Amino acid sequence: MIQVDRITKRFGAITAADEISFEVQPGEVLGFLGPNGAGKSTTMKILTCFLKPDSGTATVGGCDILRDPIGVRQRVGYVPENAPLYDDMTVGAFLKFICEVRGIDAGQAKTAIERVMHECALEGVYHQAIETLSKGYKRRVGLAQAFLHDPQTLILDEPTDGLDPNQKHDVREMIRRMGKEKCIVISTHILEEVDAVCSRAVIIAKGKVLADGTPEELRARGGGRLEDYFRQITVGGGASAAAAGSEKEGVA
Amino acid sequence: MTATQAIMKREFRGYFGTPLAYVFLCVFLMLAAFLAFRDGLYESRDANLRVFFFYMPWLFAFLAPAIAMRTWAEERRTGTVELLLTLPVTVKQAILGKFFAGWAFFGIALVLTLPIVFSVAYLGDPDNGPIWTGYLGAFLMAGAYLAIGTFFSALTKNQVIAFIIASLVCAFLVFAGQPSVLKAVDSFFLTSWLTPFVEQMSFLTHYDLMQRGVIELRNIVFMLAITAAFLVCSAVILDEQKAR
Amino acid sequence: MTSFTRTILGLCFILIIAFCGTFIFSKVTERWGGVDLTEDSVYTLSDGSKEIIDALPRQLTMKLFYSKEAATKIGADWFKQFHNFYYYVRDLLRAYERHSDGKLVLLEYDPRPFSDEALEADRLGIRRWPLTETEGMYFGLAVTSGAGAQETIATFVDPRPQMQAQLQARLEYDISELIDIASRRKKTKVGVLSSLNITGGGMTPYMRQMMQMQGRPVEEAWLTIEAGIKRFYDVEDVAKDATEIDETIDYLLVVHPKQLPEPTLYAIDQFVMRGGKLIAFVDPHCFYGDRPPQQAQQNPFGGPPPHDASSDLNALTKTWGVALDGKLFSGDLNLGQRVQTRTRRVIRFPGAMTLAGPECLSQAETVTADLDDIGMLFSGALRKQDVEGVTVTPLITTTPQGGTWSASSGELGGPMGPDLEGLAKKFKEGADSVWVAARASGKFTTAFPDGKPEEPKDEEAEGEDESEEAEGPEEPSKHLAACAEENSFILVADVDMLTDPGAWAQGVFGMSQMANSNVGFVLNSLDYLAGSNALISIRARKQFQRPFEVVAQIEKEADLRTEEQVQAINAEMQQFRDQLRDLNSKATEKNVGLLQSEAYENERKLEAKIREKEYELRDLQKAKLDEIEGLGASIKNTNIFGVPAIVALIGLVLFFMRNKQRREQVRGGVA
Repeated sequence: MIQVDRITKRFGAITAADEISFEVQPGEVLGFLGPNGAGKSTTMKILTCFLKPDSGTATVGGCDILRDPIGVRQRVGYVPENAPLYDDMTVGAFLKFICEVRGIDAGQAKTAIERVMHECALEGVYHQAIETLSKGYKRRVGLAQAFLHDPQTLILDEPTDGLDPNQKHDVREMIRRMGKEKCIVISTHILEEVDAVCSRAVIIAKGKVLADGTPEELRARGGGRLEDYFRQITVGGGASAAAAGSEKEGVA
Repeated sequence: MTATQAIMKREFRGYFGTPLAYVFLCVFLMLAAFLAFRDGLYESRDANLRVFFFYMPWLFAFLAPAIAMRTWAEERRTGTVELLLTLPVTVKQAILGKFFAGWAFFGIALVLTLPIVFSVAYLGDPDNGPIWTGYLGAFLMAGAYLAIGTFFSALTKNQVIAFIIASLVCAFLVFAGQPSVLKAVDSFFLTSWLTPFVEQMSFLTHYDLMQRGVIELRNIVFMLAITAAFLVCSAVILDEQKAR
Repeated sequence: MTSFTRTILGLCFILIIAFCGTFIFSKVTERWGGVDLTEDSVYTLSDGSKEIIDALPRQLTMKLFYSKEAATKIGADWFKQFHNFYYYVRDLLRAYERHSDGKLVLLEYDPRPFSDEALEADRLGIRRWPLTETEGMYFGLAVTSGAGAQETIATFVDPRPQMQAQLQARLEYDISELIDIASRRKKTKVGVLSSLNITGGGMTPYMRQMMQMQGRPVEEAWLTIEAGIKRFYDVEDVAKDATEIDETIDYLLVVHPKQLPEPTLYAIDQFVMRGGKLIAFVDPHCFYGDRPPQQAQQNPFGGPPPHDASSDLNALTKTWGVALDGKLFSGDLNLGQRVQTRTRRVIRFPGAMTLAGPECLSQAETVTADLDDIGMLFSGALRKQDVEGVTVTPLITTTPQGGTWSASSGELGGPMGPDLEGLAKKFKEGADSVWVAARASGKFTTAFPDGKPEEPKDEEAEGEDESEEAEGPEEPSKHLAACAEENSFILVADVDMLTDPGAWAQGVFGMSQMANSNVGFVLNSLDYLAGSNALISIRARKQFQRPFEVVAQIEKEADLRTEEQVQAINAEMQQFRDQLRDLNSKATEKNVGLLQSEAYENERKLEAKIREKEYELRDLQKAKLDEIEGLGASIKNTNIFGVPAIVALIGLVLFFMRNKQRREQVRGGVA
């Protein structure tokens, strides 16, 4: 379960996250929607304690991100944007390494690796160097890495980005399957994905939360089409202007 | 500490997973032996390794940054830094793990120079004291250089820039003990109080006594303090820079 | 950006703290010293040095001169060894300073051309080695005291590697010695009594120069006295017919006493009885120092009258436990030096010994334990006398194969010099080592139990005595029958070892160098009798040079293998040269034109032969060098190329193995 409380993060003059607040409950798959540069990745990096917020805080899996970053990381599975991996390692060695760093002892590690290899359909590539894998496989290795310790919270930054339709489908299947008992946040700018996997969506732009609701609610606000609503609220000048615009349009 | 160990293990294996490590080792071994023998290790007919150790500070000033340049610049370039630092690992552990891996690699490089010791021991009866202290000094010095290299690797995404700046800094820290540099410092700053300070900054000043068989606390403290300081700086800068 | 700036400032702060912290730490702990892990503890002061430092009566300043900047400017490779040595000297001096608790202050100077430091160096007598026209290298040490005492080691540089190594081995001794001399207010007085003029006859250098200018023969003082003993002690001449040894004299060095008159013997006896320290050098045949007078050699009628070059002090020392064994010579084939005989043959002569090693130099005795080698020529043999209450300890002996033999004066000194070949043939190996130097300790009793010998000649002196000590009421009781306390004396059966050719070698720069440990032995003996073991204990050599034994072995074996060949070639060459000389002399004497062309032809032939032999000799030496260089090349190649090649090979093998394994596993995994 994730609680985000008015997180703000600035990079120089740019405000990447501006008092962002939301909650995710177990069994929920939250879609984090927004145009590129809206602050999705920044928020996720803050939630996984890669970055520190300038103000505000969040609780992930019961641990405060400021006070217990290691606790947070232990409880979270995270797939960064583009799922970076150590390309020179084999899949097996890489997964073993993650187990070691996570402090999973050797016996458990073996079963854990077998489990994620199965879940992510990686059986054939155990001994293969990651750099020789196709993009789909690489992404799946990235996901497998995040599932190793069987976390209750998953944070996935654009997990389907750059995959072909079949691969996208597989990944979404996986997320949907896990979403039943876990608490999952995925970021995306692909709206169909929200429909496909999310039980709730948060739309942000220019670092501000602009909308929060189930896909149906949001679609309803946009007059039946999520795309329309998304465009309505994200196109415009500043975040406040966008918010004002949404009000106007709402009035109109 | 298991996380540190795991990172160290991965990094260390990483060195030998690529041909780079072997190329590095061969270059190092060849240069070390060549320079020692060029300077009359054999012709002097005296069983000591002074000329061998003499070149260590110079060799390391370029080889340690070459080894260290990858450590963080590469992680940041490929983005794996985000993977690594969102695992339950502190920056300190990550820095130390990588540092120890590099240090162990240098340990191996030094161990591989033992045939030179054996050669001299075969030819005569060398005094073992200075040899072991020389190795200890070289190893500590390698650690300090690696820390410097680590720092610049954490500072920039570009390996080449990391290498060049780190080499320059290492070279400066070697050169600082040379009379010519001291004189330049003396005349440039028009004060004499800076000169002993600069001399004290030099690795040569501290390494010199070690490779002759005397271990002084201050020399060891210097090497370890420089190592620690640059590692702390690496941690600070990495924390600051990792997202860029 | 502000946070970034803040970070950078923070980093600068950390680094400044680190560098400043270590700087301060270094300064604070500068005097702590370190753990010396060298085998011989070369950076640790020996106890002797510490003793000397502890005994320092006042503050001394050590001024170390080293042209550090010039050294780095020149940057030549040969310079490096001095640079390293400089660091050693500096560290050792710092160790002195550390131990002294402020009594020793080390100042370091880097003299630049025309600087005050250079002037100071010149003033203190530090040697300047010219490097370029203006640049010179100074590397020396001066120890000065506030009272004006000033002692220097002019230079630590010796261009000859072997001597440089010795210099480095002796370093601590030299420094301690310097400090010791500079700190001593009054030097101890050594009286020298000799039948030979070994102190230069008490002439001032000016007088000597005047005599030299007037073409009169000048007897130079022996270097052992002049450059050895005089550095530490005040030397005073004692007449060879003295009847009284001055009270101020602490040591008496008796060298080659030839038939001393009874009153002089008595004076020496009484000197020992009152606790004076005696060191006596006697010899059955002193070769270098005791030459027959010039006119005797030029005597055209027959051979020269036999010249007796023997001396002994048996009249006294027999009663004290040890004496010269007649006119027997000691010898040892194991120790014999190579000498050239009258017929230009090179033989091992048992009578010219180089005594070295624990077998010859007693390791239990401080006097000899630290010495390297003693050179003796026509040394005599000592025999222990059984005297109650006296213990006699050998200091220097031959090996167990040593023997004694006697020689006639004809064999020893013909017009052509001694007949070495004949003497060597006479020598037979003995069954036990022969003593050549010994120490006796105990409460000696007088050799004159009847008191002062009655001699008419003596009365005069006695009268003087009486007049001097007219007040002294108990003149007869002045005779001492025995030592009140335990006393020691040292007796050595060779005088040649003290002479210039016996102990000194000419250095390159006209500076004399000690050729062996002979002078060290004399000084050790004096120090030992003085009861000051401090300096002696430092004389221990610290091993700085560790030669490549394997290379030395190759060299030695090659030398052994070619020794005969080389000798044969040398002999042949000599023969040709002799022929050539004969030819030349004949040609000039009988200036017969007819002969000349033939002679010229012969001459050319001989010259060609000599050159041929020279080539042969060179080839032999080259073969030896080739072997050594071959070993060097193989060691170099192994280290420079072999080891990296092995590493590369291992890398390649591992790489291919891993790839193959991976490919198989992948294939297996897919299937």
